[in-house]
Amino acid sequence: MKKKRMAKGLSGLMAVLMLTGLLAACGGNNDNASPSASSSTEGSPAASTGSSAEADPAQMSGTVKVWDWDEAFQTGMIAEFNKKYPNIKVEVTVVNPNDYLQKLQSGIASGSDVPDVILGESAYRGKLFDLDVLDNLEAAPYNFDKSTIVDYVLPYVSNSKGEVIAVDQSLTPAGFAYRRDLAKQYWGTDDPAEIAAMIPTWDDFIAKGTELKDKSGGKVLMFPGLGDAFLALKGQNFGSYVNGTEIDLTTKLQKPLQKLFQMKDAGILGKNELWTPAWSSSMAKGEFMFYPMAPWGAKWHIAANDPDGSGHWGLVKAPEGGFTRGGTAVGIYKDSKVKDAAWAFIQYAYLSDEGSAYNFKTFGNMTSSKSFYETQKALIEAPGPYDEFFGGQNLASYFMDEIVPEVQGEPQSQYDSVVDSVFNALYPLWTKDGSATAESALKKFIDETKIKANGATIK
Amino acid sequence: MSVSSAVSRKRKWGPRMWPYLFSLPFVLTYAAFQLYPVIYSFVLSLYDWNGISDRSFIGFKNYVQLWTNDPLFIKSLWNTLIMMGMFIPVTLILGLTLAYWTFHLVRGKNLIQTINVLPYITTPVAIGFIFSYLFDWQTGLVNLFLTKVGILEEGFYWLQDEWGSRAIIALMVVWRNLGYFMIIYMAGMTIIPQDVYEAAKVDGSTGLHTFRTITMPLLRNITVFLVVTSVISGFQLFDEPKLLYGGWSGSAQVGGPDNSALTIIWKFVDESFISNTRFGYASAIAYSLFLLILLFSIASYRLTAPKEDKR
Repeated sequence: MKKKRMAKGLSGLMAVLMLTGLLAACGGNNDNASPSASSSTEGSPAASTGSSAEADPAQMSGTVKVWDWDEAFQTGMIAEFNKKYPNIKVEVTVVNPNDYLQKLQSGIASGSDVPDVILGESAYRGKLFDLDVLDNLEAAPYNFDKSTIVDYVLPYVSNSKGEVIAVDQSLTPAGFAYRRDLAKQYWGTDDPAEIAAMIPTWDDFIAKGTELKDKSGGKVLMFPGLGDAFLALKGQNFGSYVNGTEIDLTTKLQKPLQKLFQMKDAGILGKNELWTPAWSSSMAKGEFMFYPMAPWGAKWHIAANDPDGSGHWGLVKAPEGGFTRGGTAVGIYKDSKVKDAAWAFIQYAYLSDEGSAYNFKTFGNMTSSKSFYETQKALIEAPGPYDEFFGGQNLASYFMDEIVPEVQGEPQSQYDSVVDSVFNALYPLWTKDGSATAESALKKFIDETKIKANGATIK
Repeated sequence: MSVSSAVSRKRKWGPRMWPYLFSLPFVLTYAAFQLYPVIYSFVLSLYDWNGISDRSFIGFKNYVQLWTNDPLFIKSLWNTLIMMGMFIPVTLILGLTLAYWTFHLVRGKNLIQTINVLPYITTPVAIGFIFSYLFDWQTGLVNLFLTKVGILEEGFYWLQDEWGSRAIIALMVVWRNLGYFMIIYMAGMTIIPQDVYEAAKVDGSTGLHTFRTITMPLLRNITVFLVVTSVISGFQLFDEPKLLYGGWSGSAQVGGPDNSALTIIWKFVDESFISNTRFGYASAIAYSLFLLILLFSIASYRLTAPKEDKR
C-alpha cells in the first residue's frame, strides 16, 4: 500500500519535473538569441566615433549576420574578406528572395532574428526602403561619400528623404542579349555596332521586326512576350511617378504602353510570360531575337536557359537609351549591434577595389564604385567569365562604355511593388485579348492600381 | 521539497489535481501557440500597422473598409465560394462512386486505393507545377492534344480565362482530395453491417436501389463530416491557385486573370506580404474569414446533418 502511494507520488513528481523541463526548454530557446547578441556587442569595435575605414582591419572584431540567397557569392567573398579582417566573423543565412521581406518583417516585428546586413532585391526594394529599417550611410559611423559611386545608382540606394541607405550589389544597366546566328541569317551581320545602328529608335525596331517576321515566315520574332518588351520600355522612362501618396501612372506609362501595343499590333512579340517554362525554353530554340539583359543575366538568364548556346549570343544596346534591370541594394539594419563590422564587410565586398576585383573576376558582378573603373581598367578589358559565351564580346566594357552613360536613376517607391504586380496580372490578358488598346490598357492599369494601392490617389 | 511533504500536500488537494496537471502541458502549449495568436491578431486588426513602425489604433475602421470599400475582397470571397461550389459536390459524388466501386472490387483493391491516395500525399508545389505545365498556353499537353485531335485550331489560354482558371483550380482540388474522400467513404462502408445488405437482398433490392436506399443514408454522417471539413478547408483555399500562377518563381502573378482566381487567403497574403505590408488590415481579413468559416460550417452542418442530430 505504502509502496503504491510512493509510486504515485513519484510519478507525480516526475510529471512536474518533465513539465518544468519542457517549459525550461521553451524558455531556453528564446534566451539563446540574447547572449550571442550581447557578446557580439562586447566584441564590436571600440572606435565607433571615428571613421571606421581607417581602423586597423586586424583589430576589428564581431559577428556580422547576413541574409543572402546567393550562397556561392558569400562563401567566396567571406573567405577573401577574412584574409584582411581575420577577426570579423560573417554568418550567412540563405533566404529565398521571394520570402525575404516577409521573413525580415516577421523577424523585426517579433523582435527575434534580424540580420545586420540586409539585401533589397529590386522586386521589393521600394517597400524595404519605406519600412525605415536601414541606417543612413552618410551619417556616422559610416560617413559614406556618395560622390564615390556611379551617379545613376544614387536613386536606387536612396530613400524618399534622399538619404543614402544602401550600396549597390552590382551595376545593372541593361541592353538586349541577341541571337548572333539569327541576326546573321536574317540581317546579314552579327556585329553589335551594326545591329545597334539598325535600331536607333523604337520605330526602326518595329520596322526591323516586321521585316524579320516576314523573312522568317513568322518563325522568328523580336521579343518572347509583352513582359520583356515592357521591361525595356518602362525602364527607359526614368521619371519619378510617385509624390507622397500621389501616383501618376499616365505620365509614367502612357508612352511605354503606346509603343508596347504598336509592337503587339505589328505582330513582332511572342506570347510567352516571363520566367515560365515556355519562355525559358525559347532561348535555346532560337524563336526570338532579343532578351533584355543586365550583367547578372549572362549567367542567370541566358547561359542558365541555353547551356549549349556558347557563341550564339551577343549584347547590343536598346533603341533610344539604356535602362536597368533587377539589382540588389545592400544596407545595414539600423538597430544592428555591429555596425562597424557590418560596414567593413559591405565596403570590402561591394565597394573596395580588392573585393570588387574578386567579385568581378569570379561572379561577373560590377561594383558601383567609380574608382574601380579607373584603377582596374586592365581587369575590365580582360576577358570576363561570360565573354566567350557571348561570342568573345567584352560584356563589361560594352555595359560600361555603351549603356551606363545613357542610364539615369529611377527613384524607388513603396508603390513599385503594387505597380509591378498589377502589370504582371495584366499583360497576360493583353497578350490574349486582341482588342485591347494602349488607351484601354492604361485605363485598366489605373483602375487596378486604385484597388490595390490603399489610400493613394492615382491618375 | 522532500517527497514526504509533497505526499502530505497531495492529500490535501487529493486526486482532483491530477486531471489539471496532466492537461496542463496541452493547455499551456495551446495558450501560447494558439489562443494567444488568435487574441493578438484580433487586437492587431484594430490597428494600422506595417509590422515595424509604431501602431496606431483605428478601431473597427479596417473592418469597415474591408466590407464596404474593398471590391477586391468581395471578389475574392465570391471566387472562393464559386470554386467551393465547383469542387465540393464533384469530390463528394466522385469520391462516393469511386469508394463504392473499389469497395466491391474482388481483386486489385489495394492497388486502386494506393493510386487514388497518391495525389493527396503529393506536395502542393509539385501539383502546381504539374498543372501549370499541363495547361500552359504555348507548350501545355492539354492544348497540344486538343489541337492535334482537331478540337481546337489554336491553343486555349486556360490560365488567363476567368472560368478556365477557376475550373482548373477546382480540378486540382478534386484531383488532390478524391483519394482522401474515397478512403473516408470506404471506412464508412466497412462499418455498415453486412446483414443489412443481406436483408435487402432477401427483399429483392439490387444494385443502384441498394446503393441509394441503404449505402447512401447509412453514410450520411461521413458525408456531413466531409462537407463540413471541406467547407472549412475550402475557405482556406490558397496553395492551388498560388502555385498554379507561378508560386515557385519570382515574378508570380497575384489573383489570376482579372483577379478571378484570387481567394480570401491569397488576398490576405497579398495585403500583408506581396503588394502591401498592412498587418492590421490583413488581420481584419483573417478575422472576417474566421467568422465566415464559423457561419458556413454551422450552416453546412445544419443542411446536411440527419434530422435527429439537429437542435
